[in-house]
This record gives sequence, C-alpha cells and structure tokens, in this order.
Amino acid sequence: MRVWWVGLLLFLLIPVSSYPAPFVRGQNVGVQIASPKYFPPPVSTADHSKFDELKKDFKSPEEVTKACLKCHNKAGEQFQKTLHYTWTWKGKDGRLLGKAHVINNY
Amino acid sequence: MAVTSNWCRCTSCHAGYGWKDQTFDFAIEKIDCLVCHDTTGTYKKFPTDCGYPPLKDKMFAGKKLFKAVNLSYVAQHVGHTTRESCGKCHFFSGGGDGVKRGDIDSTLIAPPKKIDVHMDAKGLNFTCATCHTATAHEIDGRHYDTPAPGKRELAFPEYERHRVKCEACHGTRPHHPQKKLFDWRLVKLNDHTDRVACQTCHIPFYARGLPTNIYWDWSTAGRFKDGKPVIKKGPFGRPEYHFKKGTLKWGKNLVPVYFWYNGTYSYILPGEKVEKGSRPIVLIKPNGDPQDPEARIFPFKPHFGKQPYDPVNKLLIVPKLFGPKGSGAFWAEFDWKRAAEAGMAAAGLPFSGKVDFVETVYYHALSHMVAPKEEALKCDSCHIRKGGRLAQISGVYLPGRDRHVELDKIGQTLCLVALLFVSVHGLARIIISLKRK
Repeated sequence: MRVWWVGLLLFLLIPVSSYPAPFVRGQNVGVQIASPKYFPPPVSTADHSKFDELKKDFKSPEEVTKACLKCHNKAGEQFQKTLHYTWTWKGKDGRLLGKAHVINNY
Repeated sequence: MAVTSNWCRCTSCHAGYGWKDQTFDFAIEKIDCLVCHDTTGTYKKFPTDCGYPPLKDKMFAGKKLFKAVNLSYVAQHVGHTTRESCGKCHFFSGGGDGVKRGDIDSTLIAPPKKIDVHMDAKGLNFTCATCHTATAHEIDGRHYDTPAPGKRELAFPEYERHRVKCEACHGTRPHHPQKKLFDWRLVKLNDHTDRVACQTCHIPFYARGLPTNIYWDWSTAGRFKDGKPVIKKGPFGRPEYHFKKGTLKWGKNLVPVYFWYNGTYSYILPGEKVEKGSRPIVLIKPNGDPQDPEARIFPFKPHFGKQPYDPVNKLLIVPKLFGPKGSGAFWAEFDWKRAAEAGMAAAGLPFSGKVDFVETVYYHALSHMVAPKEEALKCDSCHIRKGGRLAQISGVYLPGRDRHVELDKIGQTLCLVALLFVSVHGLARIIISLKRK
C-alpha cells in the first residue's frame, strides 16, 4: 500500500535535481588539431596554402589583408564595425565608451 | 591609463595597422586579419609599432628580439582562432603576462585541468571561441555597459549562437548527482543559481596561474640613482618598484571581493569631474543591487592605484607616457607636469598646470580559470557568522551569517517555556496516574 506512494514521491523529486543533463553535439565531425571536445568549429573546406593569391612575396601586411578580402568579401565590412577594430562602444546614455575613450589605473 | 596620446604603444594590440594618432581612418585595408587567424604562432606585432608586425628582425627595449614575420607563410596558414592567438593580446593586458586580469594569462595556452576545467588541454580543450561565440566577426562578451548576449538558460538550437554564459551549457539547475539517482543536498544547491553566479563558488581564488598586479602607485615613478634607473625585484620575480611605473604590488591565489552584478558596468571618463576624498575613486564599477532580478552575487578582482589628478579642474589626467624625448612623454622625460600637458592637450581637455595624485580602484569581473569542482567553495565559506566570503554583501538574508538577536532570544525563551509547561504537564499526569493505581 505504502510502496506506490514512495515511488510516486521519488518520481516527482528526481527531475528536480537531475534535469536537464548537458547535451553533447558535433562529436562525429572530422578531427582537427587542438579541437575542443564540444562545439568544435566547422572543418575548413579550403587549404589556404594552395591559393596563388597567398603565395606572393608580400611587401606590407596591408597587401595580405587585401588578398584575404578578395575572397572573404564581406569580412572587412563586418570587422570594421566591431569593438576589436573601433575600440569604441556607444553607451546607452550616449557617452562614448570603449578602450579608446575610458581611463584606468594600469 | 589611457590610449589617447600613447597610440603606438597601446595600439600595438589593435587588430589593425598604423593607428598612430587621432586621424586614423579605420579603412578596410588597415584591418589586421592575421593577428587573430594565424595558426603558426609566428605572427607577432612589434610592441611600439602602432599595430605593425616586424618585417625585419628587431630588438624591443634592447632586450627582446622580435623575429621578422614571413607574411606569405602566415597567410597560407590561416584558420580558426586559438587560445594562443586571442592570448597574444588578452593574456598580456596591463603591460605584461597576467598583469591586469587575474583570471587570464599565458598558462591558458595549454593549461592543466586544475587551472581551467574547460581549457584543460588534455580534456575538454576549449578555445576562447568555444564560449565566446561570434556572429559575423562580432564576438560575444560584455561590451562595457551592455551585458553579454544570450539568455541564462540552456542554449537549445534557437539560442546556440550565443554560448558565453555558463547556463548555456549547464542549465539553471546545474548540479547533477554523480553516482546516486537522487541527492537531496543538490536540490538546495541548485536553488542558489538565481542569486549567486556560478563564478562565485567555482572561481574560489584568482591569479591561480601567474601573479597579477593588485596595486600600482604611479606617483613614485621616475626615480634614478646615480643617473641609473631604479628597478627593484619583488615577490614572484615581478618588480616592486620600476622607474617607469612606480610602486607595484603583486599577488597569487587571491580571494576575490563580491558584489551584486547585473552584467553591466559604469565608467568615469576623462573630462568628468571627480572629487578627491578619503576613499578611492571607483573608476570602473560593476552595477547591480539585490532588487534587480538580473543581478547575482559575483566575484571581482579589485585593482587599486594612485594616478595623476588635476586638483584645480578636478579631472583625472590622461598622461602622455610613451613617445620620444621632447614630446613630453613621461617615459622619456620623467616629468609628470609635461606628461599631463601633452596628454591632456591630445585628449582636448583643460589642464591647470598642477599635478596631484588620487587613489582609484577598478573592479574586474572574474569569469575564467574555473577550478575543478572539488575546489569549489563549500557552504561554510559564506554561511558562517563571521569572516565569511559574503560578509560585505547586503540586501539578502544569509542563513548562518545573519540573525536577529532579539527574535532569536524570544524564540529560545518560547522553546524553554514550552519545555517547562510540557514537563510540568507530563509530570502531573505521571503523578496522577501513579496515584490512581
């Protein structure tokens, strides 16, 4: 008589502590060097050492950037807007924040 | 202290080429693709060349050799970011390995599990980008006054573009029984996650890899003895005095300070008036209070400093530190007045001609170097009457720490009175029942 009641209580309580378990994804993609165990980045579909555009004797790093952007033709515009390039972040109150504007004690 | 007027030194960590003054135009071809996407480990920017890598072998400060970068070789070996490529700048913020952050340094290039359970090179082997997910080159994380994107819950497919919060993988009830089907202690532990950040218990100490700077007094900088610059080695092999920097204090395995934190920060900008008082000026401050549903108790590294201040205009001074002789740069002329003049002029701010020094503090949120679970804080780290980690946290009733002495006394008295009545009543019944026999 009492046994089913204990069972019901356990059934109700177990999910409280064991829900939800972490899930694992992307385990079956090809192995990359130094690839993280979870969420590995997609395996590259290009071998950059085969591109003639990159086999040049670059005179300046800007020439490399131009060569990259020839194929990755949206990357420049994307990156131009990011904090890593602008070092400027427009605060919610309109003040300009970002590394180029703030002050610290280092 | 500030990038303005110190461009070529500071912008050696800019993902671009040639930011040497205010006129930098942020053109597309000035972007540095290689600094992030190099997989060879041979691409390094020269520390004083405004973001350019050395194209010939070059000595830095007469001591460290920077080898010429083979641009073609690096360009042919680009790929995803690695711990090393992000770390080239981020491990060295503050001017050296582990100086600024306290939870990020070069030990993360290939850390053991005890330093970082996620980046453990022989285990999970996460890169920075495993958590700091990116969309079209915009990398997730807190951006000044804007919290990191993503919800505080499991990142099922519709949210998985943002994985930077612990809950994205661990959920909001993250503790699971290991061997048993059910563990009643974990039920209560899981109830903490709405008010206590994961980091609070799971980053029990900071600077667990390398020592970090905890105090920086600029006011003493500029000492020479017999015409020779003074450098005094201190603990951990780091300088306790450096003629360019002043008096420095270092620490390892330090206990964080804790605040309510909702993921946003407040900043004091150069040009905003500040009063010199008895307490340090909080330059960079985490926001949050117990009434804010987004706020959680969170660990921080405090960084105390003493830096130049204009007592007449009541402004923090942007000093020119880096530059050639004659430019006013402090590291060339060692004159704070000249450095302040040059720096404030570049920043477009007034300078009275007087230099004072103020105590300041900057709080860094600690989110990296998560320790193995065995090292996480235990209940009595906080739930203890005196000396607990959360002794300074207000606005919340913390069992074990807090009590109301009068209320406790009333309760104890009531218990005693009840015991007395029960005893008298029970005794009376025993005596009466004995008499009946």
